[in-house]
Amino acid sequence: MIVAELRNVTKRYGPVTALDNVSISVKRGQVLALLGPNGAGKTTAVRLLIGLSYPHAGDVRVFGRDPHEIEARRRVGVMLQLGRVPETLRVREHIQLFSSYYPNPMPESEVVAIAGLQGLERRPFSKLSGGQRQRVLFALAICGNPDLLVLDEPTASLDVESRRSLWGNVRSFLARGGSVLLTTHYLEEADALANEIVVLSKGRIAACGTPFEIKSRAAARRIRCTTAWPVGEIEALSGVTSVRAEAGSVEIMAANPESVVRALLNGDPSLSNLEISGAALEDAFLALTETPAQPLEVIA
Amino acid sequence: MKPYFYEIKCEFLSLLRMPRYSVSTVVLPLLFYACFGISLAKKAGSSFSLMYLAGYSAWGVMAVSLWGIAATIASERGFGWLQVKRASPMPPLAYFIAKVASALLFSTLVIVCMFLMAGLFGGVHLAPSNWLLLAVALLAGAIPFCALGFLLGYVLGPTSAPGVVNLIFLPMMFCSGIWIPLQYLPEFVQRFAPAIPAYHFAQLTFSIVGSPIKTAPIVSIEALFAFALIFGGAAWLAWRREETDVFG
Repeated sequence: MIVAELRNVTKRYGPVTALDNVSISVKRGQVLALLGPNGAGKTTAVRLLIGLSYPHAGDVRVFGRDPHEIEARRRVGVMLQLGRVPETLRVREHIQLFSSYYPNPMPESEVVAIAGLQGLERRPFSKLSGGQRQRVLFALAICGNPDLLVLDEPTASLDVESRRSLWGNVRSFLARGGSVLLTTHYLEEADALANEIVVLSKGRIAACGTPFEIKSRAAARRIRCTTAWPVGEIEALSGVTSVRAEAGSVEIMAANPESVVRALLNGDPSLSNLEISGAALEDAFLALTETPAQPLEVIA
Repeated sequence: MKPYFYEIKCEFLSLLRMPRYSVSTVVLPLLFYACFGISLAKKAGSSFSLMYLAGYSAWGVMAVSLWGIAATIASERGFGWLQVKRASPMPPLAYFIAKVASALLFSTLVIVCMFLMAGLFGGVHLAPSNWLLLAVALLAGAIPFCALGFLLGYVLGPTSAPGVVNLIFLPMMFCSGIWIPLQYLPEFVQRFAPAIPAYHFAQLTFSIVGSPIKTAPIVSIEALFAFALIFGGAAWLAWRREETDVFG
């Protein structure tokens, strides 16, 4: 069953097309990650799904309703990227306020436990660390017992440790059932949490699949050559993800082109027309992994 | 009712704990009243004390309404907090009601403190019905300034808001006849004053305590009503514009 979807949605901001005929759907129980660099259209997709803006074309549905309807909002919890939160309110006051918006909120103790805020209930927001602040915003997203949780770059400004701890909080929420849509520009984060990834680039869907599929495609290189090797044997080489024979040459997709080429040359001295290139998706992922702290090798 | 209650509670507490707000809006008029109202009353008689009671109470009410609403909305819009609330199932009215309720609670705080000071130390004697009438006029007079607060909150950016609000508030106070009696102001200011909501608010409260006035109370009431409609209407347009998506 589909809980939330964008159907052929186009959204422009002035001359910029933020989303170009994009369709995305979140199914019940699923964690869908929208992955892409800044400006790919992730936040635009989120804003449409949580009823903060309207599409120029296409249709947006959440639990079969217009996301602007209060009945739709009551089933969704939202965590956005924020500049500032009322600083003098205490953690408990924030949670009580947001719980009061929902018809069947979670008990406060449960919210505090899932968000990992034990002992901080009386702390004013201004006295919290960056990681703790994100966990409070997470608490506000889950306190209404939502069926769908929408997280826009939940860990964008966090260090590795706080990031992992927030992933733990998301998993605790998932253990209760419910679906999650999250945006991120870390493949690692999508891999850690999601069971489906949609890669956005310049307002279009560049790829989608399971984290395993996306990772192997992200890492792949294309090797092309003319060789006497039988296709079946090439497929058996380690690191090879696919082999296609066409018009006298073969096209091999592999995560480790160097060792595959070494094996090919060793086994076939007559090999010719060797050509190695980045796979088509490479460009999208180069853009994704521009952050130096997250080199592709570590992720894959 | 629950979201309304918590929304008002959080709005009030959050402002109360912000000394920059609570001191400059509530404490400042009280402090001035202690300096001028009380000390002048001893020298020059209670008519000064009465005028300052009316004027400075109005000052406090205008400050809490304008600052409490304009600055918080501009900041909550600009730094994204309002988006989180809009995405939540918060009843949209709760947000507005909480802003107004909080301004009225702070106004009540100003009024109670001011009345206590005037009655206990300022040598002010008013009939109970006049105390009540003054309190009601002060609270009702907050409404056009709340509306102006909404308008400014929805058109100003978060960083420019405090400066611009000051730029409007200070000249408005200067021309109102509250800080400086009107007859001591330059001629053109005196002629211009009836175009300013703070002038009518001051005139209305002066009339209740029996201080000399230039504009009939009924005219001031009509003017304040008109300002409330104009500011409220403009604020509603600004809000509509944002709601239908120019934002971000």
